[in-house]
Amino acid sequence: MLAEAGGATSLWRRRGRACYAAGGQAVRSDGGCTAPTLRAGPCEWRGHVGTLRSVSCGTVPRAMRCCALSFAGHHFRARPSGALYWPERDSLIVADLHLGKSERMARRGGALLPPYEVAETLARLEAELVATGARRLIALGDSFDDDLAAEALAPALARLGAGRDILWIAGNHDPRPAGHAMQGEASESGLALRHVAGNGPDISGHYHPKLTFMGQRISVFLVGAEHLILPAFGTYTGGLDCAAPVLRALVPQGWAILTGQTARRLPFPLPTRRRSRAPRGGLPF
Amino acid sequence: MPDTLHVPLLLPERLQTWFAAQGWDAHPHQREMLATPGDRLLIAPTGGGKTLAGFLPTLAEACAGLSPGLHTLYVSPLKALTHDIGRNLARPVADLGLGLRIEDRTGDTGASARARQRVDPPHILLTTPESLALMLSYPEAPRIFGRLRHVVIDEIHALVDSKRGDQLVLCLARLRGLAPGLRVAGLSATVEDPAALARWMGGATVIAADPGPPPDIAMLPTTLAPPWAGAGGAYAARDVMTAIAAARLTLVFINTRAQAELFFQALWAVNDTNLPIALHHGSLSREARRKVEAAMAAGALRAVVATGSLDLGLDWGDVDLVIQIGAPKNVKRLVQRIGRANHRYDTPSRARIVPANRFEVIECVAALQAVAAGELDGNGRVSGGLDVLCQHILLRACAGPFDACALYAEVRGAGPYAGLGRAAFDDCLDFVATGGYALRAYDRWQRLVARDGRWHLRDPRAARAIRMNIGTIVAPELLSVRRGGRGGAPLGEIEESFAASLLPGDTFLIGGQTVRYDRMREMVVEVTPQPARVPKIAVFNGLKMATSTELSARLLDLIGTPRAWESLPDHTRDWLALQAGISALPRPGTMTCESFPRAGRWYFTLYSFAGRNANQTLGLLLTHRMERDGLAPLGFVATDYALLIWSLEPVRDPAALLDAQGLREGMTEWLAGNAVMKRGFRAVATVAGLLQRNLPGARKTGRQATFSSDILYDALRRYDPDHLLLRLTRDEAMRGLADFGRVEEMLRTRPEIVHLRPPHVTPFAAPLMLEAGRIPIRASGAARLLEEEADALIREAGITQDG
Repeated sequence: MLAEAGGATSLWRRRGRACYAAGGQAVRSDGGCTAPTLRAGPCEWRGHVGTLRSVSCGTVPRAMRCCALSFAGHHFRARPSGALYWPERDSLIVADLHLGKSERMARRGGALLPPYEVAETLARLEAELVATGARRLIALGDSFDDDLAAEALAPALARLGAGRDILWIAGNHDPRPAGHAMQGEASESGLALRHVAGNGPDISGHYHPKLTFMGQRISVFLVGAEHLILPAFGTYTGGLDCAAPVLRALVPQGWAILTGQTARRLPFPLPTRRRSRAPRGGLPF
Repeated sequence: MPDTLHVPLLLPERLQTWFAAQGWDAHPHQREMLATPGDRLLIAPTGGGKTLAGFLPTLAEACAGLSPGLHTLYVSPLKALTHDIGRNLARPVADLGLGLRIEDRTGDTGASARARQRVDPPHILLTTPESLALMLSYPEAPRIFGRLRHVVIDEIHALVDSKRGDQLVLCLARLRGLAPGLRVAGLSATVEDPAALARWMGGATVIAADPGPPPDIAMLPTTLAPPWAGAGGAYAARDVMTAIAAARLTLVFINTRAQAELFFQALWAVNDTNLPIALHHGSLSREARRKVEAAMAAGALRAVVATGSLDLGLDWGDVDLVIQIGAPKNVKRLVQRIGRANHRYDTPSRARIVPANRFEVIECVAALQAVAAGELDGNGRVSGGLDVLCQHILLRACAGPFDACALYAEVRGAGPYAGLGRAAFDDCLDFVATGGYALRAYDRWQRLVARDGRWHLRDPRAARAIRMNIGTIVAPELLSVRRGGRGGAPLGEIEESFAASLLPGDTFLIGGQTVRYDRMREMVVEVTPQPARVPKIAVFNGLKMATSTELSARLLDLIGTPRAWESLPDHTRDWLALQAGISALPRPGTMTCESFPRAGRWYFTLYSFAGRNANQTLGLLLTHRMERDGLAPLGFVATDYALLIWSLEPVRDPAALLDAQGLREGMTEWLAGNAVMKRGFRAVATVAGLLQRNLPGARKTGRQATFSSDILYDALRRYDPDHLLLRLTRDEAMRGLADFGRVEEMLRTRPEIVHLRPPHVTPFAAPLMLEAGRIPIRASGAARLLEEEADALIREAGITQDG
């Protein structure tokens, strides 16, 4: 049961200054890269354990690499953080930020969750924008847990939008545009961008797909012939198992791309004849 | 103790006549329970008429007539006990024509009955700690409990060490506030320190019953020697069968549910005469358990294989033999289990123990010696849990506005909270009201707000959700298992993590039968019975009980004292002598460890005798340090007795590895990110009310409305490392799953490190190498494993990454 022995946090240093924490804990299936200030430049690994063997994608260690994919004739890069980069449109696409979730729960008399998730989500989002250099940000709905949250976040979002275009698509949690121009859906290069998958081909969010693999539940991109469904980017988000009938109906056959340290592509549904279990390692005999 | 025979029996005539008609004479301790004023704690063995003693004052007062309203509250840790007691009380009440209303109130009680009980409570209410907490959270609580005269707490020893117990004593303090003059009767099996238990109750007069004749307890002779490793005891199935055949009714106790399933199968494989033998454990469906209990009560069974679900005081009538498979891990538990046999007070209980492996032989002998010497293990917990206090404050707010000073005073009246400082109380109150975060984000949306010097629930509608999350038992998520098809028969429950590891076609054991996993539908695991297939065993990941500190000390003492070995079987004596010749025996005061090579690996054994959980923590910490020192550890295995680590380089300086300061730092810094700590956090956060297990109106669609507590843990560690819940998580890590307190104690009490370099595997190390449950250490961690598996999957599917 205690199989997470390698969970150390390694420290990456850049010119003597800690710039990026990676390793077992800091990079999570739900969180992706947690670095608030991921920048270009050589990094020196100072850790003692870890899988970070080489560096690619500019600053991103090899283990943080992206997964190239083509969908409906367009090329994308699925990022380990759960964001999707579209080079052709120079756009970063994210879904289900759920900003302000903890405040909404508090307002409704529920548990008072640690009030740090907005800062966390925005920091990761900014890091992704910096890392990709994307000129545009497209948020596929459920960006704000509700309208009051959107108002409270206006200053932080203004900072995020400086020098970039942001396209907000409305989701079921975004009841009314609150100072943000919000669109029901958009169409770019013949692809529909919407919150809930509809008539394909489209790129959407909403379901927070999760795949159970090697005993872990991992946020995934689901890619089929008609639909590309993004994982939730927000910090405090759960998810729907890919085995759920609604997701199987949308993507009967295709790929699941794992988030976490590396965006890994797996056939979806997973072949059943093979047992998804950790190989037993280090036996004494 | 006063001469009890001269204590007058203050029974009303009606009751005395009834006693005489039954041919009964009141035991001295029953008389004393009636005659002693104030709160009482009765210590009596099973079959000593404990429950009747607890209810005598109630029956006596009822003979004089009772006005309507709740008069006596009975609290038991087990729902099943409340049913039992209700049945047992019904007879004298009917015979005496007392006209008392007796009802039970548990999680199984229907909504309409609950609503009626709130308006019109019965005279005697039989309930559990959780249901009591729920009733106290209603605004009507003062009216319901205002005229309460007696509280009877049964099986108090089973509650004392737990958060459930903390919750109960907090509720008791509240009841004392609502009904001044209330009298409490605690009923307990034998415990090491009755005075401490009385303090836990908030003070009580201890009444000790005659403990009865000493039990007849011994090892069960077996035809085969126990295996070197393992925990199932299957080697002794035939011997156990012979013992069952010779007895009238046997209870076979085994430590875990998975082992119970396996042993039950092993037993049936040798059940040549088809004796009626049943299986009973907490993962079976309620229907299945009820059936076994009814068959047992009806005398239709010859044996029941059971886990802890039967540990408590059910009325087992004709049981005349108890067999314990596997080392009992804890002397107190062994004694209480023995107490099951023979419910008659004046004849000795008969019990036999079957060790499951060689180390357990020594543990069993040590446990028998402890029983003979009358030495029990102490209680682990000293002060009440603050997470439970947080829940209590939240529930108090549901009942109505409260004054903080008054609540603080009330809480201090509960034994485990007697030493609670005001600052700690205020921390809890602040957490409940505002979240207690360094970033004061919820000023507008506090959960509790202070108005006119009293604390109110800001949003009264929240009370419903809060009540739905009452309780202190944080169990892993369970999924029910049913036979396939619409309305298939329920078979029991398995843990979600185990269900997630199943693929269609996999087989596992549940309820004594092998079933095939078909699919999961709406949170129900659908299966088909498959008697012919070899099962993949159901894993129940619950906290494994570690051998107690006291028993471990006895065990170490026995191993280190060769002249005491005559109490051991021959095969075990030879084994110890061999170890002494090749390596050395661990002794009290020394920390014995070995380094030896085998097949290209170096092995490091540490005979720590610190218990399974502490050894596991030690394994994580030591392998981490070995990794740092370049020793390339590959994995480890932890048992109750020892830790075995294998690596590419040998350990040359164990003293440096075991440096206390370094281990402590590892615990606070490195282990803080480990799964063990995350599980601890989940429990603390759930009890304290940060995580809500149940939400009103939530449907089981498979979509997780909630998200992993790990996310919250990570957020707090990063942004608010001194938060109350993180402090509580660290405190909890000193015991329980991480049990770091025992690591500390071991380092303190055994300062002398003896490091041996035998040329090959030693007799003590060999069983460890056969032990299941190895934990691989990959320098690259779990992520690397996942990568490899993903690569393999991709290769097998014949695709390339760029596909």
